[in-house]
Amino acid sequence: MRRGADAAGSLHTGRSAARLFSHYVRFNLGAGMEYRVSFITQVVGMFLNNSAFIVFWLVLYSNLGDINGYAFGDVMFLWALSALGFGLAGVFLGNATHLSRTICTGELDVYLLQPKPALINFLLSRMSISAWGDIAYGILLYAFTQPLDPVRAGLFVLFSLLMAFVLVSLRVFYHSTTFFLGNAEEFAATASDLVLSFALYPGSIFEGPVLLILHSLIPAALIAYIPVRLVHSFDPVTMLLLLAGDGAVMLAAWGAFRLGLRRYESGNRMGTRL
Amino acid sequence: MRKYVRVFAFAARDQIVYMPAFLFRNIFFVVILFTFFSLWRVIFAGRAALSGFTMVQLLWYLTFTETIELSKSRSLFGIQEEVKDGTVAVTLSRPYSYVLYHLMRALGESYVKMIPMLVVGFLLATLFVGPLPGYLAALPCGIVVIALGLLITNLWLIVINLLSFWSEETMPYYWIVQKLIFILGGLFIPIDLFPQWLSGIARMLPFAFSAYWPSVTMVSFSIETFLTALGGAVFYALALGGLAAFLYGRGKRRICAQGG
Repeated sequence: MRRGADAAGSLHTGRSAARLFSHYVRFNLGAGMEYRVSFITQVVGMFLNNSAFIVFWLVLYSNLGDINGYAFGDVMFLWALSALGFGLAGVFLGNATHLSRTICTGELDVYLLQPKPALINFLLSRMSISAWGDIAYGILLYAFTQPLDPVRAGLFVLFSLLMAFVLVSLRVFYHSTTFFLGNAEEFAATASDLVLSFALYPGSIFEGPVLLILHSLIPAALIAYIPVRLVHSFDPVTMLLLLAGDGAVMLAAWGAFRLGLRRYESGNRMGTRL
Repeated sequence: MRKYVRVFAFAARDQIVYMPAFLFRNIFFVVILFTFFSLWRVIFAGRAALSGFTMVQLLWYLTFTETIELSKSRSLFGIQEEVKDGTVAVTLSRPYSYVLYHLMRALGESYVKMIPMLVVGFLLATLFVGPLPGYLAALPCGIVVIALGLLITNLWLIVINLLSFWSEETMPYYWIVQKLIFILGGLFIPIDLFPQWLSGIARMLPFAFSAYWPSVTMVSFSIETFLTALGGAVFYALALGGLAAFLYGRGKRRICAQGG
């Protein structure tokens, strides 16, 4: 009986989160589209911004055969994956980068008072407009540089979604240190950027203790290198390990946020959010 | 002119106060140099040189290009905000040139950032690939063209931010110019590695004087290289400065002040 009630409760929470998600997407997109020229300039600008790096890799590969087992197509896969993952994180869970500031200014109160899960509510409440350009770039880069095999395309979408969740989780985790150490915005932004900086280069160029860091504290392997390996030769055990690793990062982020909330002191700033 | 020197000095002093935060933020510099070292080590395996660059020259080259990129002023993004929120109208009555004021402020910030970046770059490059032959001989002229590279980079930022008189959002223009400097300016990869037709064009573009020419002056110094870097930088600095003044002149006509 109790199990049945729990299942119904989970279903209700799931539905409620889905509704909240759809409301926020519509609202944020509508707000962004109010300034249509700015919206288009940002999306196109980000697309062109990302495209520049293709030239860098083309020049490198024109002088070489491959880089430690990574062909040009593999590097383009890394870029497509990172662009789509980063874009999805920015568009749909775009507020993660503002967590430190929100904690410091006491503005988290607003989310705690609303009858929705605080973390989800907070993450959904901002959309990065330029991240639409990342999404478009990731999809087009994949279409133009990768074989159009449905299984491979399915894995690409799955890994991009996982990357988005892991990136957001890492941001939440790093920014949650603000609950304990004071304003850690600088640290959190730098640490989050590092993950992506490493993810955009072939994993095989790194060796020694750095590899250990790239599998743990800065888990570029989790979001990029292991997916590339799985796309090349799928292995269910590695896939399960990857999912477990991703799950652990998400759980750690959720735990750090929950733990931090216990130390959170409300601000005395008056404000409202409609 | 004295007032602009003062603005420069105030900005430099401000930057010194925030130096620990700046150094922490530039952990990114360490990471990017380490990533480049890891990448180019693999590429250079079994090769003595690539398009005339040895591994030692290439890594040192990248420390100089990154020094210029990471030392550029952040304060210039304030111009866009001033235009958007109308604060720029207040500056009209002030007895200074708006463009020159922002330029001197930016240079004060940038040149103070540049020095520790050069020191950190020196230590990292020496640690990764060993000393750069001819470093000390190239340094006096190299510093001049690196400083001019920063001047050009900051002038780009002023020009882009002044576009906010016409455009709601100028960040995308910044991304595009920044990437042109990254690629055609040789910030990520020396222009010499490009196909010949492209490298010929890229060498003459203003982007190359922000990154390629100052850095190549440091890693393979000759008087001819230095004079090319110097001449091109002065020419493009004057051109971009003129463009900034023109844009501001046109833009301020669009300011509408209401009430008090």
